[in-house]
Amino acid sequence: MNALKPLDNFPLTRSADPEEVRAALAKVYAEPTLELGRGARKLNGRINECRLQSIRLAYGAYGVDTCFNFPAVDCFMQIVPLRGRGEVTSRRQPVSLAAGGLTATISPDAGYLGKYSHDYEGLLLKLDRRALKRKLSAMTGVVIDQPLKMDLQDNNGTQSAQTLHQYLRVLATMLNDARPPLPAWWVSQTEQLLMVMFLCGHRHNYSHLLEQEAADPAPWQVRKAEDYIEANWQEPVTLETLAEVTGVSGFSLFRAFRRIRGYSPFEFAAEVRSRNPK
Amino acid sequence: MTEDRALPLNSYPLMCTSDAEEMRASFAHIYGRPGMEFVGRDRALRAVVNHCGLEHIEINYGSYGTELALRFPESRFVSQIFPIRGSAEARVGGQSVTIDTERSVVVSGGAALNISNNADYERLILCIDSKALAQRLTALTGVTVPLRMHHTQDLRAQPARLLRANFMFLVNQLSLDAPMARIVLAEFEQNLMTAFLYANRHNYSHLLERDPPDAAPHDVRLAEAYIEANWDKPFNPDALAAETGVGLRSLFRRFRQSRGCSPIEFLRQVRLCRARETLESPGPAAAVADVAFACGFGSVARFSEDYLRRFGELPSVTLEHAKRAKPSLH
Repeated sequence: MNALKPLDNFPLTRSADPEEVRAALAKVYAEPTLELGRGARKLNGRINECRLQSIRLAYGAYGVDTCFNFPAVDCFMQIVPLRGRGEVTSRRQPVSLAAGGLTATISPDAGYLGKYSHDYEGLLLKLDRRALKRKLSAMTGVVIDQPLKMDLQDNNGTQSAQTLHQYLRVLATMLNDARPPLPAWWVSQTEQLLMVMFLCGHRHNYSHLLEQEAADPAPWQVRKAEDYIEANWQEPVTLETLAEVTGVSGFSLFRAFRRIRGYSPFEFAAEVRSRNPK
Repeated sequence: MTEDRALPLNSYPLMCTSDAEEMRASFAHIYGRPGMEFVGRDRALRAVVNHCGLEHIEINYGSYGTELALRFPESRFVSQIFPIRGSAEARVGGQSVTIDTERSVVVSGGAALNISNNADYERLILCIDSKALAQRLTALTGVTVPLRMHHTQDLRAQPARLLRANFMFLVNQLSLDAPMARIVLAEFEQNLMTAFLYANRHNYSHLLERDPPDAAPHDVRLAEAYIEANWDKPFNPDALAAETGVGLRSLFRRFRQSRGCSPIEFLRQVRLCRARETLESPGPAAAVADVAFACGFGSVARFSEDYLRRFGELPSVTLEHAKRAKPSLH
């Protein structure tokens, strides 16, 4: 099959020999044990890996049933299945992987056992533990003195988790279209973005510090904005004026309108104007 | 029209109208009231425009269903138009360019835009607050002089494709029912502003381009080394000239050519960086005024202003932060 696979511009190995696959993985990561299913002697290994600075994005497909056993490394990792099935066990806890379903998050102090079906294809995001800790410290403004703890099987259903999964897929496509070397600015910007998405997309022992969102505007503030628009319908409506009148930021007010009323302040203003004689 | 596909930014409608006046009035909220003329025979306007405002960035989707000539006045944004279907003829700053999925136009805040679209034209516009973009540029390069964008941008170049891919991802996310977490959105805004400055051509592109130290002429590098070594002494132009063996006037000119600023401005930037380092690892009794004077700034107010422009926060904030993050050992 010659179809272009994710990250094909960044090949790590193409091999039928399990020893070669193990050696290639050992070079960039850590040496795993590898068993093939049903007495197979050969596989159809295709591993790609794009290295940024402290983050790597990899793609793997093996063509036969495989079972890898990896030792612990100093990275957080997220395994995102694209096709087929898999089962990952880490710290004696298992999680079943399927495309569009669950993903697995491996912590730095834990190795893992990964069993993949012959048709499995997946992405692997690796983030350096120290870089992630620095980013978390910068985002929260506190010293991170406790190790960052995440669950193997995460709250994949949340929007933030979905954002990360979707971005990883888009990123893999973007990189297929890219010619190395990647621009340095893009590499550092993408790392920052991925780390923010990763930290927001998982529950961990510092999550509460990332959730200090401003309280959403209340219905009475929306009402106040409407009163203002009704009274001043000849004037152009700007979010700045509404922000002044209600005391909340224009953007959150705009969102609150949509949430509470189902329309934007501008639509409301247009409606008021159409009611009044020209 | 029985088209059922979900349009980008569907949950942020600005207008959906066949009335020209209503369309102009709705646009007036965002870009200022545009001038408008029908171009073809078909005058059946079917304008659908969605608009999503974030903190520093706003995103606009639009299609008109007929051939129009629009004239937008100056606005507070630097805008880049990404056609996703059809094409249009844009005129800005005396230049005319056909835009489509391969060629984009960038409009600086201070410029008016004339645009004539064909009937199936659909576009997304990335609008960045001019002030926020200028701050980003200063943070990246240290220069504080006005940004002048080139109007025509080739979307086939790799940096432009990377910018577009991230922009489209954000648009798709905003088009979903559940919005992104605010903190991720904020990071995305910074990401897009930076990508915008790297991917599009402007008067400071040369400062952002991969700039190995060797790119500057020998005398400019000598001057930089001298300034960095003597940052804590008063600026001495004669010593600088003697050190580099080049006349002052030509040194200043060459410095500006390769660094985009004068040696004095460069010294100021070096001092600001030293001040930041000091503020980030403060002694127990550190105060902003002491740091300012120690780093060669005569006025605390001026120092704070420059510092804010360069690093996006006041020196007192950096200090406060560092003191809180590193409690004294005693």
